[in-house]
Amino acid sequence: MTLLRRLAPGVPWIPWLPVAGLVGLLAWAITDRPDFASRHLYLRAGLLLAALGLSFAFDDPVAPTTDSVPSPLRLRRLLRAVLSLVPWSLCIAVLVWAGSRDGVDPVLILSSTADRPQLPVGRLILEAGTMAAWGLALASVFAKRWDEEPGKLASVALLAMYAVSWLVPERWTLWALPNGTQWKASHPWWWVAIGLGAMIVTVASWDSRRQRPALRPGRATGHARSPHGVSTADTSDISPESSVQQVVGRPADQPQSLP
Amino acid sequence: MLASPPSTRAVVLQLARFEVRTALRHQLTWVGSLGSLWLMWILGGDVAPILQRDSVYLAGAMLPLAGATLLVTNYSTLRQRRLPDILDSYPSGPSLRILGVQLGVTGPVLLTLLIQTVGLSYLLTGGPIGGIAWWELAVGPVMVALFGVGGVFLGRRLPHPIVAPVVLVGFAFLQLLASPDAQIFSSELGPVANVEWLAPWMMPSAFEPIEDLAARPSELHLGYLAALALVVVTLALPVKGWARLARLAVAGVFVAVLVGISLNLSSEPKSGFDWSEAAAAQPCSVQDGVEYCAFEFYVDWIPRWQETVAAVDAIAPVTITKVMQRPPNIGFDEEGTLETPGLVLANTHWDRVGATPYHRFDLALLAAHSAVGLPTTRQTRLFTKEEIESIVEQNPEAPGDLRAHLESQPPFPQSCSAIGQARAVVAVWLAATALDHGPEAIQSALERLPTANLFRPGYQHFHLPPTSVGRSDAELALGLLARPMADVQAELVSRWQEVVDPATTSADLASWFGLQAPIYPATEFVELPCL
Repeated sequence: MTLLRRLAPGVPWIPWLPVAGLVGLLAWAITDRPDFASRHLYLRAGLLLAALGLSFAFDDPVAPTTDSVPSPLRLRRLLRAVLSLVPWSLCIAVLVWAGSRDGVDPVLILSSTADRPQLPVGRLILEAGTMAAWGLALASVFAKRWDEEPGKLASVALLAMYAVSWLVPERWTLWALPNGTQWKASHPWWWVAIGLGAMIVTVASWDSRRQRPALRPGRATGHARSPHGVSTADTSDISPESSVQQVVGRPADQPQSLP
Repeated sequence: MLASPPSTRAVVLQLARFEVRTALRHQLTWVGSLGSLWLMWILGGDVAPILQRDSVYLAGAMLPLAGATLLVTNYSTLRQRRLPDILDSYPSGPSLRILGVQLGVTGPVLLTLLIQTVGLSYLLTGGPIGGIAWWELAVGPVMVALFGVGGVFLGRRLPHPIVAPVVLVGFAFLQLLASPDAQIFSSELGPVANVEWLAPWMMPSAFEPIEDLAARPSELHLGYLAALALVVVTLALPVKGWARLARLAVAGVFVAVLVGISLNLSSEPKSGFDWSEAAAAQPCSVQDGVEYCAFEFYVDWIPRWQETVAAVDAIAPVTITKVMQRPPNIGFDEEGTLETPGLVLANTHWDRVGATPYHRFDLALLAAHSAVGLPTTRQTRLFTKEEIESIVEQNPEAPGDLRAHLESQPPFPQSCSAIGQARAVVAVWLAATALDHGPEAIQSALERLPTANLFRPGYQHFHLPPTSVGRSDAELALGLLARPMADVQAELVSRWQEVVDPATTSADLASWFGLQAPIYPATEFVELPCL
């Protein structure tokens, strides 16, 4: 409980503000559409937005400090994910509520076919869960390898994956409609995708503590200097401490490579 | 002695140079460029270039690069916010640094021009018709610039890395809804014409004639994007005091002007183009007893049609009398006009020189139909009893008395079934033999619809076929194509009377060549056999 109370303020709430704004707009715009076929673009865009918000769940600007606490990384990640699932669930609930208004009946189906004016809630939640799982999966992978604030990379990667998934040929499409030919065929792929996403999150977060890459001498000195005085490599991942080290230089007695 | 501080211009240029390099080296820029190249290929890769239309597509294909530029400039701006203490110790103040990032957009804009030049060169080498629409083409780089400065604006005013992806989702969604063919994506209607121009890219309708493109407010759209970019640039720069109010006033005036223009634009496009009038005025030419008529814009395609028909005719004499151009999915002819025996309909799309011959194959197949005695047009008739039973069986939940409804339908153009007929196989073989890459066209059509029982060489932008040909028939034709053409032709000529007999089956044909008889899965719809 103590850990939960301490972590709650650390959860990135700010990402949810633009997400909630756009989800709200989508929910508002959806109501004059007559059926799921004409609402699915809105709903599925909303699911993506919610997953984008979730991909910032593992952002931890003070990771160098929290890395030293005795709680394992998987527990901290789990708590962060659970806390971020609250606003995510709210977004999904708003979308399902908006999607099932005005003559569209919500039905809890997964792969069964549905009539035109029915909203396949089960399938929508599966899709939402899959996108969320991949948002977290990408964040955990990027956090492990490249960044202490992986949300930026994870959200762009998720966006790219989403765009690509709409471009696959029709026979492999994931984005089927309940009365379409690919509805049942696409269903197993959603289970595969959510399973894979969940597995990646688990594996990437299983370390007892974050494995931070060692600082290499080349990183500080191997790039051309910019007019701003910092390295031309992407400086977005430079913490204030390391920035100062890059600009000012290392003390002579400090080892070049840190564990 | 202290060195004199560098001039503002020198600092800005130095910053801009750095930001250009950063933007061009960024992985997202490369991903966006690849996306643009891919989209360029999808929109006009293997179709005969029509420069008016393809200028619009070349601009639209830059959307992925524009999206990537928004992200890159946004991250550049956010990076500056993370290192304020360090950056403040340098000669560039916050305004100059923001200006530097804004000028860094020049990199992606130059990249856009390069990609568009590549695309345009590709179009010009593909036997194009029409002329380049420069105003439309210019939308590409201006759009990239707008997205780039938009990324800076977002980074300045809403400094969090999630904002840019969320805004991109919003843009993509609006762009999709701004399509005049929004019904293709869902059952909702598209926007009216007087707001379409407010989208970053004015997507053309697939159902509008090329002539309508001239009626688009292209110059207005380009000016709007450029003005919006300037307003966004101004809003992103840090200013103090009265300048803030002046800036907001400019933005307010800009929005007011937009609303004013939109309200005064027509909600319906006014091109003045009329399909019926244009069809009546079609120029025609006659070759080998066949009359070829095209809309004035497409007259240069007539030799391509003639070449295709002549290639089939060289193998087996065709009996068509007229090739007439009509747009698919748009009907304006008098009843029965398009069902005239011996008529072949060409459409408003064609294949690029050297590309897989989808449209050429379609025309060659219809010419081959005439050679083997199959109809080249749909036939006006009533539903047969078997067809009615078949439709009723497939639609158990149809409201009302479907059978009575179908029985009361007046005669209308319908196709007939050539499934299992030897001549259907021969027609497919003829068409493929007559064309370069003909077998590839068959293979591609079969792969495109792997579960379909019917062979549909035309998929998008094609007229409804006059006959149904079975997938197994097309596969048998591929078997024939694997054999030496001279051997197959000699065998067919020696049995020609049997070939053109509707009673001769594909299994008979297969036995002549020692091939396996085709197997036909049970069809869902029982259609009247072609006679």
